[in-house]
Amino acid sequence: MSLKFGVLGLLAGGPLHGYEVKTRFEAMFGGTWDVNIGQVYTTLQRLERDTLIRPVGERGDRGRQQYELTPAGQELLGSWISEPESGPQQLRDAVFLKLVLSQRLGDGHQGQLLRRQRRVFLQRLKDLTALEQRARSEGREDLVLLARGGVLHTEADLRWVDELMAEDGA
Amino acid sequence: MTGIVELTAVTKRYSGVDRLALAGVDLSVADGEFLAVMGPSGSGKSTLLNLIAGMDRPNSGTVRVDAAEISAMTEAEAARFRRQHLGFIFQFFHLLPTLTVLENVLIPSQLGSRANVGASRRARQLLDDLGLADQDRAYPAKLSGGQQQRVAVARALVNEPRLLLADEPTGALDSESGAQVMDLLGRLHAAGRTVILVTHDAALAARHSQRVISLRDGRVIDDARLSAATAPAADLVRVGAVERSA
Repeated sequence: MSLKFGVLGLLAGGPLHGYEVKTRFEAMFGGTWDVNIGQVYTTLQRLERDTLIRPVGERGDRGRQQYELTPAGQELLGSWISEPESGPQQLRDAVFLKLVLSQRLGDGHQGQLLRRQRRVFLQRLKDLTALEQRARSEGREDLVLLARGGVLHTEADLRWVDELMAEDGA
Repeated sequence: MTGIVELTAVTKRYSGVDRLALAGVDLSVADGEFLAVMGPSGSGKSTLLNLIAGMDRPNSGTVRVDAAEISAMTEAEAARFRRQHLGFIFQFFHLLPTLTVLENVLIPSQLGSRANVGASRRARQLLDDLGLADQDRAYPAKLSGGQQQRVAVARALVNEPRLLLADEPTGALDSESGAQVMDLLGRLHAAGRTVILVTHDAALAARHSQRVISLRDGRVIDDARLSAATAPAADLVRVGAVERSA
């Protein structure tokens, strides 16, 4: 879903061919979102089929074809961007499953698991805050936004584990 | 190896309060370490720092700083020891409003045994390093919160202590001033000082320290050693996991 709108958003800045879409998309997320070139071409084909984009100019080197937004694509992109996201909150499913199972099995591992999970979150906070600072010093506002989101989510994860530890008496 | 700070079975109970503020804490802090102490309000963080600074006494157990048993000293001995061996940075700066910036920075040196031996030169150098050289004659009320905290850091450093204790040093500052003060503590640590930082802010604790201890109800519930931050961005945060090829 998001790749579709990511492609539309990039094409809103001017015509691009598939490989340019891939590299610009990955650069936009500071290397945190790998995009398979096959996915890009499939997405371009679907967008063209739905008349949200259209080919522009002749095929160039190695058969590369540039695409541009159609008015319909422009309109869809505009309405998508302006709507807030209302999907369910995504928790760390594996962590949740381990905690629930550990509690259910009563295997006595929960306290140890919580403590080790807590350390993982602390280390991640260290790494993410360093990434945020690095992105700031490089003037990468997009990456700052991403790292900041990661920091705040990790803080919430840490608080979650702290509450569980307090309840568990761990 | 003996640490610069050693707590052994330290218990603290405040009069009129049933529960223990610290309940049998053992802690060894290595020379040159940057330790963060985390925990919710009332977990014993500030009590721990006050005991290390000799500003309070344990009910049982011992506190050693630089091998000296500060918990067994008289109040006057502890005060003298504190001025010579450690610097303390408070959340609310604790500057004297009737003294100028320079005079505030010089307070520990005038009270200590190293009185006036190069203190004025050191104080001016510190103010210069902290970007406050032109404020030396100003009174604290004329300065911003961030500037006041930098004056407090200069005061904590004027006797050149090896150990710095900071109790929520950014708690009263805006985020930019707070970041400057934390960068400053980071530089002091890089220059060889031991730093013990009390904070309830997990990101702050993790960002700057090598070790994070967590307190709850007066007990150490975790003691985590952190590695230097070297992980690439893609290993830390992903926005497009769903789109990744299998």
